[in-house]
Order: sequence, then structure tokens, then C-alpha cells
Amino acid sequence: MADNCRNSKLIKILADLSRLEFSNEERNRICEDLSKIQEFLKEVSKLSSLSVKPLYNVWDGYLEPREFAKTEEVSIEELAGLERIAGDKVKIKWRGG
Amino acid sequence: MKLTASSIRDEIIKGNIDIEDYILKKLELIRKNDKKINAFISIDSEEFLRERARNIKMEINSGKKPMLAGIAISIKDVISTSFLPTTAGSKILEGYVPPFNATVVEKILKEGGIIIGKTNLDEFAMGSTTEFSAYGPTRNPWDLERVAGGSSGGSAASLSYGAADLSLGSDTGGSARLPASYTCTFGLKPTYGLVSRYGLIPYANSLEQISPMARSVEDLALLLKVIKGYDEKDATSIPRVKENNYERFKVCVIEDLVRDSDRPIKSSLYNLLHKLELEGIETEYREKLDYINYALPVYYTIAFAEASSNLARYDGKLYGRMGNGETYKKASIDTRRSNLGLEVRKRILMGVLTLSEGFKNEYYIAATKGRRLIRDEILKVTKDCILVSPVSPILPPRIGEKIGDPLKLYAMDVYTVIANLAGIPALALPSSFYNGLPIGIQFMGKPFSEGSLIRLGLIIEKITGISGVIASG
Amino acid sequence: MVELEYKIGLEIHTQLTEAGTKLFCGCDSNYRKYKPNTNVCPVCLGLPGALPVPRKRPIILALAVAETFNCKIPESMVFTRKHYFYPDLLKNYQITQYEKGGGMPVCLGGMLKYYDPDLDLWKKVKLRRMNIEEDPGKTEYSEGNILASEFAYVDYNRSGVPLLEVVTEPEIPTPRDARKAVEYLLLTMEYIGAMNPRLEGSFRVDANISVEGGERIEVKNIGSTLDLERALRYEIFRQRKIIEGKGIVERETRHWDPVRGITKSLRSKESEEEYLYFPDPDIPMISTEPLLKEIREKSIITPEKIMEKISRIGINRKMAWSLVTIKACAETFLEAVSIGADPIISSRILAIDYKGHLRKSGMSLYKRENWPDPVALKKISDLIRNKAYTYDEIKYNIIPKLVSDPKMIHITLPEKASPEKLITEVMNEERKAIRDFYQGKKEALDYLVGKVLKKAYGKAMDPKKVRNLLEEFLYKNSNIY
Repeated sequence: MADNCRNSKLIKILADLSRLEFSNEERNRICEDLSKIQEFLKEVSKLSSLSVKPLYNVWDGYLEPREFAKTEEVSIEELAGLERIAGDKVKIKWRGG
Repeated sequence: MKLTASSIRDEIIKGNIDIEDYILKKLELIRKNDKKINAFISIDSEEFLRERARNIKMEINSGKKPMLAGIAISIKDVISTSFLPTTAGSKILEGYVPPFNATVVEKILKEGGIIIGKTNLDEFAMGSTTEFSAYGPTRNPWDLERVAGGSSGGSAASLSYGAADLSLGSDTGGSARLPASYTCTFGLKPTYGLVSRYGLIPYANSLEQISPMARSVEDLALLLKVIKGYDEKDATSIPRVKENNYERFKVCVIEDLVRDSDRPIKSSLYNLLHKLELEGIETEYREKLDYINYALPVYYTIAFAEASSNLARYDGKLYGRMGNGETYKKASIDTRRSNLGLEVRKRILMGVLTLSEGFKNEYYIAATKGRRLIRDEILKVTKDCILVSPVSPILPPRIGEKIGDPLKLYAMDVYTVIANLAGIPALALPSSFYNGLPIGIQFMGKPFSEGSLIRLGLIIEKITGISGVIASG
Repeated sequence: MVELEYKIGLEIHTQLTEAGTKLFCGCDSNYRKYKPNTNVCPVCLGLPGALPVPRKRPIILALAVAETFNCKIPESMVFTRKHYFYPDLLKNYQITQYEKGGGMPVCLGGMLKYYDPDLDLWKKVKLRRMNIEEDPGKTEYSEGNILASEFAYVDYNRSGVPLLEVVTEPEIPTPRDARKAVEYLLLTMEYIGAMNPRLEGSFRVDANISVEGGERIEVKNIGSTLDLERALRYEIFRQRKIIEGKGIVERETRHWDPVRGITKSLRSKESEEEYLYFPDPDIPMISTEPLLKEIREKSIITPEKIMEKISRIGINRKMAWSLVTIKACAETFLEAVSIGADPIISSRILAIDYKGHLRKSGMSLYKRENWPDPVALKKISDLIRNKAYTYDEIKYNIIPKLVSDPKMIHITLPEKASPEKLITEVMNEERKAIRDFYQGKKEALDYLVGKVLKKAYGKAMDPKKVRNLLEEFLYKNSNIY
């Protein structure tokens, strides 16, 4: 299927960054959607010049770090399954990355 | 007897209802109806549930009175359970059984709740109709051709046809309130930080809260009482919460939050308000909410950004489905491409866009600035009045109707995202029906005013007469 | 030819091994004694729904280090997410503190003062920042080959361990200074109680070097201070050669190979990586003021403070450093002095002779239990101070015994033997040696000294004294023999 998406380049860069991949068919399907969504989100850029402090934690709250230690134990074999374990270590496909 | 969890629980404690029988009836109901409704992704085994029922019976016989004694509870499949898989509605976590329970699950178990199964949801809670689940859509028990709402559609539907008497959903931008309003059930998004998020598979951490869902206000209050409270395992959980209720009720309605809804919805709202006024509750009508036009883009920018980060970990390394590939990069790409739905992948892409160097200032940072403005405005409004609005601007759409156009889909959240952006509590409850379809209204209060919302909810229940309703047919 | 100038900057990654817990969960901060993948929990495994919760101790230790080096400490610290995909990084983001990404680190600029013992000078280098972050897991490759190995084998015991990254400005004058600075930093962190630098992998250094006329090179994988100096020397030499030969030195990242003693090219850093930084929404900001108050109330112990304390007792700076450089040694010294041991004598015994013997014995210098009991030290220093025994008599007779039994408090005094009697005996027995001596063979004296000491075995004897007496004797009585 031909690639008739004008956002292809941008999609490729973003997909690379997030380890995603799209078939040509998928890309054509979402191409227009992504343009629309981008336009829609762009509304917020009108606010970028305001000298307002960004809000990251809704209550502007502070955290008091504490001393408590307990955390749950996890059995790695049960979690990952035997096919992922080799000699106590977790085996992950590599070949240079 | 009303079909509410609270009354069932009382009867169980009194000994008038046998827990095992009660649970078996639920399983029967699910067996008969869930194929067409598809509220559940997984159900616990009959054997296991019977044993649990027996254990709680024993507890009661020994004189204990657990708050949720024997009640059948369904849990949205985005909340971790160590005794049932937790899929987040996605293929990528198919078969993943967490080695721990979410804090809220621990609390429910401690109070004698019987968790019968995990409910369907939009994949990773991303959606407003539960049509994006990798396990099929959930249909509305009131009209099987229509959606149950999302993303906690399964939870709402399970309550609506009576399979569960209490449910836990999650609400990131309306995900518990919207399905509640589409299925004639009740949902309460708590103040941010009131309920622990430990064990909630995250979509947007700074916006979401696990939300009690039920068929009556009293039931919501019961479940909230059990699950709320400071949790040291959640750094955003609030220590030393002080309830902050209103001395007297005043209800505000802002035209900007009503104008664009369909006529039946508007009528329902104004009718209810009129009745409230007759009850002697002061109602104030206002025009504008200054930043309303920014609410949706601010919400989605932040949500997509956090989502893209939260979903980065799903590449098959340690759990869930694994893809194929010669190299680590190829294998992780294959894992994600084959097991994450298109909608989720779209949102991740947009999230990455909003955070990337060239765009961060005009998207992500700008949105966080907008969030502060919106929050401050809403906090000002709700300081002395409870804000009322429809939950959804439209009636429950047909299956397939909204998911073709993303902006149409996002627009369903226009009234609900405000509470998430501002962190304030919001209670959604049925107000009336139109052509056999439920319409829901929401009330938003100042931070930690859940008590007031519940009291107001009880008054409204009396007015509408809608409580404990099970969908017929 | 004038040698090309160079600039050195360092990024030192230190594990807070003594913090007790990992940075965001309760697993152990020292993972070395665990079987692979057993020092893990939902949080450090990055399981869906698990949440990072900062633990107090690693944060307090990091702030203590920042305080020590005169850092500008911000009012609140903010953690950020740094995104990249790697087998050892389970969430595919690392929680760090990147101030250009909306974060706020534990230190925004300070001064690393360090001591150069060879020049007996305190030097300093500006610090750019310090930040706390989490360590990823540990990866191995089959056939040891990072490029071709089919699988990566990962042990997540280390995942989540607290790291303190210390970044200097590029103004370190020489490779040797780099080494001294890092050694002092690590020693300071040991004194504060934040880390044990002798644990394998507890720190690593990334160095940035640029030689005049070329661009900046980053060298990674430096695991010891010795390697640091070697790697820097090598790089400066290599870069100078290129530039002098009219070649071009481009920005790149290189990898230090400690076995072959060279750096190898890893990848060129043409573009900055996109890490999609933003503040971690799971972790609210942490106010530093109450934590700093707690730290200031307890008073931080540093090598500089201990050196000052020791100097005030009358010990010269170089000797003080010799004591301080091994914490257990300094502690023993101060304790002994506090119960009345003579400072000069004790310092010499501990820093020079005891240390030397301990090294030779192969026992660890860093374990307090291998250093003598302060009571024993006091007794010994009294003996010497009161001139009951000479320093050398103690050195040859007591110190070896102490090393083999550091808990020894009872000093068994060897019998004092009169050397004159033994000398007379030896002179009568060793006629040949005496003749040799008079014939000009100087080594015969050594032989005679040895014979006397041998006869004195088990008794206290000062070899120097024996030698002097023998010489006197021989010269006086040359006419007899």
C-alpha cells in the first residue's frame, strides 16, 4: 500500500523514540488522526508564554521521606517464567542492542 | 429489600442471606449474561469463591462484623490482584499475574469483600467507551447495541446487570463517572491522594484515582470508607487527611459546562436542579468558566505525556507477552507492535511529541501551566459551592459510533476532566431516563468534601427515586 | 615544543552502599551478598502499579555530602524521569534529578576541597552539581562480548540502588589531581557513612578531556582511581599526538580498557540523545530545609575535620593524613590519645610501623578489629615515653605480636638483656669475623650484630644500640685482636 501520509517523517521519529512501529496501512489510518490530534493539542501553546508556574503535583505538595523499610519479596522465576530465566539471571534478546 | 450492597451486607450479618448461595447466584447470572455483555475479563473459580464465602461465614459466626461481609465485588482489570491475572485490557499483559495485591484490594479482602472477577476496560484505561479493549467491547445492559461507557465500562456493566454489588473502577478523566452515568449506576472519583494508587496500573499518574462504583450513594460511601486512607507505599497519598465539608449546601451551575450538551441531558439537569431548589437547596446560575476551552487540550496533553512514559516499560523483558526479534531493539518493537492496540500506540506517539525537546515548551510545559490556571479557577468556584454539570454531553452512543473520530471521542470527556485537572472529588449519579437510556449528573466539591457530596447524593436519590436499580432484559 | 594544554572534568558515580535501603524501596542498598535476582521487590522491578517512594536515609546522606562540599542546596528537590530502552532498566526510564528537565538536584554548585599529601597542600575544584538517581541492574553478555552476544543476562539486585552523581567543572589541572580529588571525595563519603569505596563496583568515573585544538572526548568505564589517572594520561597523550600531527579530534565517547591500558571508540556523540525528561508525577517535591536541620544538629564527620583535630594535638599534617587515610587507623589513634597515649609516639606506631606490618600480613587495613586496642597503645607509648624501652625495641619486638593479636592488652615485656654480656660472648666465639672486620670487611659487623641479636632472642634488644656498642668495642680493642 502506498504511503500517502504527509506526517510520515514525524511519525517515524516519534515511533523510533518509543520503540513502536506501524505498518503502511496502520500509518495511513492514523495519519489524519494524528494531524487532528496535534492541532487540537496545540491549543495549549497559547499558554506557553504565560509566566505561570507549571503544576506537576496537583496539591503543590511536599513529600516527607521516611525511614520505613518493608517491601514485598518477589520470586523472579514465578514472575518471569522459566523461559526467561537462565542460571538465576533474566535472559533478554540482545545481539548488540 | 433494596438491591444495594449495604442492605445485602446487613442481611448477611443478620444471617438472612447465605453467602455461598448468594455468590453462586452471582456466578449463575454471569454465566447467563456475560457472553453478550462482556463485563468480565476473568472470573474467580467457583471452588475458590465458595471457600472464601465459607471463611467469611465463619468470621461472622465468631462475632465479627466486617464492613463488606460477603459482598460480591468486581475490580477493574487495571488494579493488581495476585489471585487473578491483571491485563489492563491489553494483550501485552495477557496472563500476567502480579506478585502483589493493590492496597485497595488488601483493604477489601480484610473487610470480608468477595472479589468475584476482573472487569473489562479500554486498553490501559485509554478510552471513553470500552471499545478499545483487547478483549472485546462491553455492551450496555440497558441497550446491547450501545456502549457501556469507558474506560471502566466493565465495572459499570457488572453492577448494572447485578453480577456485582460493588465495584472498583478508576477515573483519569471521567473513566468511572462516564460509564456510571451510561448504566444508571453511581461513581465517585475521590480527591486526588485520598485513595492509594499502589497497584493501579498507571495511565496518567497525576490525574487518576481508584474510584468506588455502586448502585446507590450509601454503597459508594461504604466502599470509599474501606478503601480510602494514607498508604506509605504511595508517595502521592495524603497523610493526615482532614475532611473539609460544606457547612451549608449551595449548588452552582455554570452555563459553559452545560451549553454544548444534547437537549435531553440539559432538561434532565435543569429538572433536577428545580427539584433541588424546591427542597430548599440554594442554587446559583453562572455564565462563564474562563478556562473551559483549555480543559480538554490541557488534560489530553498531560495524559498522553504521562501515558507514553508509563507504557515505556512494556517491551517483554520480564513479564507479559514477548515478541520476536534478532536484537533487543527489534524484539521490543515487535512486542509492542503486536500486543499494544492502535489507540494506545497513537496516544504514546502523541505523548512523546509533547515531551520531546522541540515541542516540550509549547505542549507539555504549556499544559502544566494551563492546569494551574484551571485548578485555581475551579478551587475558587468550589470554595463556597458544589459545582453541578452533566457527566456526558451526549446519550450513550452506539457501538462503533464514536471511535472513528478521535476528537469526537475526546469531546465526551469535556465535563469530567475538570475534576481530574483540579484534583477535586466528583460524584456521578443517575438523574433520569430518556427513551430508556440513563442520564447521569455529576457534583463536584472542594478538596476532601466527599462527606458533603455523599449527603447531597442521598438527598438527590430521594428526589429521583433511582437507587439500587438493575437493568432489565 | 610547547605542550598543548588540556581540560579535565569528571562525573563520579558513587553508590550509597551504606544507606541501608535502595532509593525508592526497602531492598538492600548493598546487593553483593545476595543470589542473583533475590534482592528485588515490585518497586525496583518496575512492576506495573508499583510506586517509587523515596527513602529518608539515602537522601540525608546525599545532603550531608552536599553540605560538606559547600553546595548551594535548593529549597526543594525534584525527581525526573529519563527515558531510554535497555535490558538493565526495567521501567525503561531511570529516575534522576535533571534540572533542565524540570527537576532539581541535591546540589547546584559547590567546591570539592581535597588534600594532596605529596605536596602537603589543600587544593580545590569547583563542583557543577550533584544529583541522586537510581542504579540500573547489572548486565552480562555471553562470551563477554557486548556487540555480538545473543542474549543479555541481567541481575536486578542492583536495580534501584541509590547513586550520588558528582560532576566537577572542567578545571582539574592534571591526571594526578583527578586521582587525588576522587580519592578524597570517596574518603569523605566513607567518613560521612554514605559508602564503602572498597566494595567492588561502588563507584565509577566518566572523564571528559579536551586538548587545545580538539573537541571534548568522554571516557567511560573507569572503575578505579589508578585507572582514572592512567586513562587520563593516555587520552591526553593520544589527543595531543593527533592534533600535533594536524589530525582532527571530534566529539566522541570512548571506553577505557584497563587490561590493555587504552581507550577505544564507542560511538560518536553527534546529536544529543532525546530522553523525554519530565518531573516524575509519582514523587512530590522534597523540602530540604528540615532534612538539613537534622544533619546540622548531628555534625558531619569528614577527613578534613579529623585531620584538623589530629593536627591540634601536635601531629604534622602529612602524618595526620597518613592516619586519616584509613578511618580505622584514625579512630584507633584518637581513642588512644583520649586515654593518655602519647600522640607523637602513637601516630608513628600506627601510621608507619603497624600499618606496614598489617600490609605485609595480608590482613585488611580497613577493619577496625585488625588495629590494636587503644589500651595496648597507651601502655606501649608509656613504656617508650618513660624510656623503659626504645622505640625500635618496641618496633621489633611488640608490633609483630600486636598485629597477630590486635586484641592483646597485656604487653608482655621481654626481658631486658644487657648487650655487653652477649657482645663479649660473641666476640669470644666469632674470632674469624672479627679478623675479617679488621681486614676491612664491613659486612662482618652486620654478621656480628646478627649473632648478638640471635643470642638475645626473646629478650628486648635494640639493634642500633647493639651495633653502636659493637663498633665501639671493636675500635677500642683493636689492639687486642
